Amino acid sequence: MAILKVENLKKFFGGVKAVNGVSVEVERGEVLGVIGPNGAGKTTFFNTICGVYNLDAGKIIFQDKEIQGLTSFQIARLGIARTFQIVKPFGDMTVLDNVISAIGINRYKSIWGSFKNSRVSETVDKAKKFLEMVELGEYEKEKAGALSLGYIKRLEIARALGIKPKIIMLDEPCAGLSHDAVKDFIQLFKKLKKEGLTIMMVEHNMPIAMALCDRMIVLDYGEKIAEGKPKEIQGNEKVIEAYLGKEEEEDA
Amino acid sequence: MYEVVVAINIGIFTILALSVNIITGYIGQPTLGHAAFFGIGAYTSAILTGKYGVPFLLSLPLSGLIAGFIGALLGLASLRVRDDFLAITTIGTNFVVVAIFQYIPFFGASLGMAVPSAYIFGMKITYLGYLFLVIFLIISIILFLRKLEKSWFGLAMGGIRNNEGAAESIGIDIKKFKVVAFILGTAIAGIAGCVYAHYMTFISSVDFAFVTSITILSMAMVGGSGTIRGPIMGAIVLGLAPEVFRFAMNYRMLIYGALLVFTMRFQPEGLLGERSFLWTNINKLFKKTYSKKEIESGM
Repeated sequence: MAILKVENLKKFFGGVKAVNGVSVEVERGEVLGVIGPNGAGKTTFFNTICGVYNLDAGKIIFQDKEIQGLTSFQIARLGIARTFQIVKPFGDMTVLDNVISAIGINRYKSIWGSFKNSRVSETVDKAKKFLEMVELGEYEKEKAGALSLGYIKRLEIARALGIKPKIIMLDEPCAGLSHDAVKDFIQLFKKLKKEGLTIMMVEHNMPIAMALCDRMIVLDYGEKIAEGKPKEIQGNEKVIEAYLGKEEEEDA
Repeated sequence: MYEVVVAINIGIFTILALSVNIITGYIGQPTLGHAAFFGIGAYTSAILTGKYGVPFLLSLPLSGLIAGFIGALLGLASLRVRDDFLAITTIGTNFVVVAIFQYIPFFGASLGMAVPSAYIFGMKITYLGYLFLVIFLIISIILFLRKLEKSWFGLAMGGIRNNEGAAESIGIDIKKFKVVAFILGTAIAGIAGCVYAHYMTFISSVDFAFVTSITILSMAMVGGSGTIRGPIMGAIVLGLAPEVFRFAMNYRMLIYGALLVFTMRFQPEGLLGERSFLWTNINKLFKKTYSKKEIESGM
């Protein structure tokens, strides 16, 4: 059963067709990779699903419920968590507070409820558990803005886990990371997969994407040009063309 | 006597600095028109007590309520405009409010308004009484802010201050929290206005002009925005400065201005801000004794 269904999604910026009629189904518990060359519309595709942008056409169905048109905080409350390509930590707050703030997702619903104390032992313990999972436990008292990029990316994952997501969308989790940091990320990724999370991931690094994803879709100029298992994608002519260009063009 | 008057003034500005800090420091929205709400509170109480005979103890919360209500409208505006544009909008609000007080006869126009003395339980409030009232209000506000900082509300405001996109991605309704933060900040300013009006017994529109907004904001910034200790410190330092430098009467504003420039240049986080020189050293002083204890207990 598909947990998330995207039907004919369109998002235009003026004359630019950033996402032009993409359909995809994400199965429960699978890892779906979204790949494509620069400017293919991958991040726009993510942002449109998360409600950051209003879509121009199409349907997004999450757990049998249409969610297009909802704002991003409402979509987050339904259980779609995300990380960002350009990291967005709560820089002047501690690492622990970053995660606690996500755990409060249901406390923000009513104003009166939000006046309750957030640092009760129950939430702090939960937050610490997530930090242990991403191996940031020893940095809990540091300011998030003082961490290195690799750690901030992991912190974003911990924060995303804080809202108890049913599906987590990772936007280029390995971009800008050192070789060692990428290795650490792969370890973490395997842990997430073991937890049974459904994961959608934009990734530029092809070997990593090939190794981690169960299935992939390939976007180019806002359109889906291929879908399938990593091995099938590898040999797909259209995909090779999108990444490397046609042979005749290369001569020109 | 003189000391009491200075103390009450500083106290009222402490309340104002703490209240503007909710909007600029906690949730990170620029506001350069806070004096408007100080004025709305003052005029509300002047009218309620002077024209309708409402007792002071009732008009105190009502002033906050009305200022908070109008603050909510500005909060709604803040959802549409951001950053520099919001700053300009708040400046505009300040000018509009002052113009209304200045030109509409109901508000005394350019003559200002006389405010009746305040009575609590049939007793007229003396200067010392105002001092205690102000101290009581400051303590209540500090207790409230401490609760706020520890609450989910505080975390939501921190998230919005740092990154609105990320805050939304973890389910925070930024619009709701922004409006409520504006209500809280402006309502507290309204209460300060009520106390000010009765204590001065006369108000006019110039008391609540743009310059006052800048003074309030400067206090929060110089002291260290985003903290409780900062605005209090700022109100004391900048409130005392004109008194301390009385001997250099003609250069008072110069010294005041220089103080602002130097803090912004060398201590942008404010005197007692999170990573300021003063605060780190105070912390170090206490940490040393703390870590010694840890060593003794064998940790």
